[in-house]
Amino acid sequence: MIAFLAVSVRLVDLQALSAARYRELGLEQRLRTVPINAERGSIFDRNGRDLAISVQRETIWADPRLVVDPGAAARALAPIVGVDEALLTERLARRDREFVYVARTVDDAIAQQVRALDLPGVSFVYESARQYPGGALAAALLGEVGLENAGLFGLEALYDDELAGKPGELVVERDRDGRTIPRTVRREQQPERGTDLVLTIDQAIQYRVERTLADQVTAESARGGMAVVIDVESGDVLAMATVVGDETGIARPATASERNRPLTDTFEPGSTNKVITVASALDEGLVGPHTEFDLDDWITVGDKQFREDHPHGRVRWSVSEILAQSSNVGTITIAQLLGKERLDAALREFGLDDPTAIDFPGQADGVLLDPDEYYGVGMGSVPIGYALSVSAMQILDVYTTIANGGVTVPPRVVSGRIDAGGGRVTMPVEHGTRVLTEPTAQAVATMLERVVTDGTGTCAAVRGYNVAGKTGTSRKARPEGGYADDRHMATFVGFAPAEAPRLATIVVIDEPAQTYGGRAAAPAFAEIMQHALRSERVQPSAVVPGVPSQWDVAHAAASAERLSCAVPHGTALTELVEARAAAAAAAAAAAEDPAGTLPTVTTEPAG
Amino acid sequence: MTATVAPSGVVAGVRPERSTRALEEQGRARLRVADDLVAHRRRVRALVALGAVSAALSLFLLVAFSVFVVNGQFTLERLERQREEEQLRYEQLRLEVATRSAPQTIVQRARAMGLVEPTEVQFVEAPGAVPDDPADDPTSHTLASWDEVKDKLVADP
Repeated sequence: MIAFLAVSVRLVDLQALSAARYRELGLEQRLRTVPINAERGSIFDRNGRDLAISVQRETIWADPRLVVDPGAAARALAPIVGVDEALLTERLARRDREFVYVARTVDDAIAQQVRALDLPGVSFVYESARQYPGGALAAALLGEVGLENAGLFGLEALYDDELAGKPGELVVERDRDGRTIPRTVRREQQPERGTDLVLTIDQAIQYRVERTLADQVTAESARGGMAVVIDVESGDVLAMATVVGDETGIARPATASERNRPLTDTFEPGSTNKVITVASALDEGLVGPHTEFDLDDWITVGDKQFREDHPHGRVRWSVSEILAQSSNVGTITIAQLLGKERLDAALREFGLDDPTAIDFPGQADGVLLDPDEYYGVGMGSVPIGYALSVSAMQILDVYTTIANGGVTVPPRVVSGRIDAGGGRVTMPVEHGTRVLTEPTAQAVATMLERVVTDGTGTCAAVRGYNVAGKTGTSRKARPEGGYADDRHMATFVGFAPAEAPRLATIVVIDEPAQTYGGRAAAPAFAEIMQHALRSERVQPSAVVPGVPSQWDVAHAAASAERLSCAVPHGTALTELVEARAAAAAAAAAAAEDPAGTLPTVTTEPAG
Repeated sequence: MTATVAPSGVVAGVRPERSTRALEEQGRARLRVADDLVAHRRRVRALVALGAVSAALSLFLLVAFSVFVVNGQFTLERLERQREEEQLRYEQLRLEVATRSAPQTIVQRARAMGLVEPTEVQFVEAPGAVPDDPADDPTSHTLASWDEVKDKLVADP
């Protein structure tokens, strides 16, 4: 009777008094919130070509409890999915797990092969995978995403919040085995597709820049290189490339996980910085383009003697010639007229102490000394591009400003966005600020033309167009202090057509064999600019009958100096690399056997 | 039970026609009652029949509606699957177009076809010739169509 009473009381409690609470508890156990990922936005080039796109790919997974023979299954799967067999065996043998990955976001062909094996416990599910149709094209700029589709590097990381979209969720009831109980959807929130980015990058120009730069870095046995092409009118960056020279001697474009060096790396700009000294002195009215100076090939500043790279004895050079011949002594002399305060102000007005207008993760600020820290030698080092550190993009900004008549041109790499509904939002072009008067900018541009016509940058001449630019060569700092004599940064930066600038470009070669910017970087500049100007259908410079063009004069000057101004490609490059490898091997053999006792092995050319 | 009592001074059975009339009247009265009951029963039967027919019809309609709904659900699911498949196909084709039109793919294909890269590029000058303005036609139509397509795609196929 008591038992009956107890059961009855409990029954009443369960069914009537506490029914709601137990119903809630049961529901809590059954309810599952399933996240629904949003499709990641695409990244387009300026012509609407896909640079990064998300597609659904099959992920292969397994329920180890259902796998009959983990060893055999791993043996069959490993060669197809490219995962280590031992690792796969370990995963498939974990009976305490209901879910293990075999391979994620595989190609259709691989999925088909695995499906054909018909292995028990092995299943497939679609996952979003990020694809880069151009391979490594602009990889260092674009960056990449991880397996969970979160941006890790570059623009993918910077714009991750926008590209990722808004994930949705599905609240359903599931049974003990995790199966969805039919007709129990409690709530469904649709995900929102990510925003697409439209870049200013031109896929074709980017490819050409990377190829030219890679071949030049290979030809120069350099450690690496960087290049940027920018539209002077809009500030649109058409190409931004980083190339890495490796042990094999063949350079390659940087991968997504490597630095986008034009924005992230700083170096001492060397002679490319001289233009700021000269432009400021012109703007202040201290000198004119034809103001002449008597110059030795050395000058003492503080306790340090600064020398010309190419000794010339005592000469009388105009400001224009000082820039054309990249005279250290002449530039320091002009800087002394300017004074350190005004020089420092000019460097800052050109934006060398700020990051550029491009938003990019890890972008470097320039490093400028305070004038109080110049001490004795600062007025010798800073005007010629030492004792300060800037990025390639910052130097290009300086030359773009000159090309734009003295007004800065804020660069940009993103020109628009496409929201979840397909609405396009065009990013406004930022307005710059005036740094130089227009006459000064034009005078400097004219002087920079001479650098290419008969100065240090003859190899930068482009057939059909007048080019204005500047060479730069700087010794790299040693970790232990001082500068290395055998490691340089070679730069050429300029714009074209000089009389009505449309495009500006910088090429920097890291530790080239030929040391100087005029030899290592200028040929790549010329090839890149030639392609970009024609790609943009820029009208060639006017030809005056009977007057030789800039290219004719520069080509003759380069030939007289026996300069090779062409970037080797194809078989020419292959032969160069092979010859270098053979020479290195011969040198190594000679070093191992200085007495020459070992027989010499020669190879006969085929055919 | 109603007892029939003859009036005083009248011998029972002397005025039979009156008794018969009374009986007839009584019988009519009873018959009228009988008529109401039958009609009532008929009405009830009709109502029951109507109810049954209505119930059967409702049941039929319910089943038909349910079949229609389930059928619609199946159609919806089939269309949903078809849409997902088409969306996947769209993505795959877009990737294929982008990959095949990428510069490096074109160069690789050209090399595979035996084309050799020039060691130096020569440009022909045409003094006085003015190049056309940049072409209005974009080199890719993906972006233009994407503007229209994007809001019609589900976020996670």
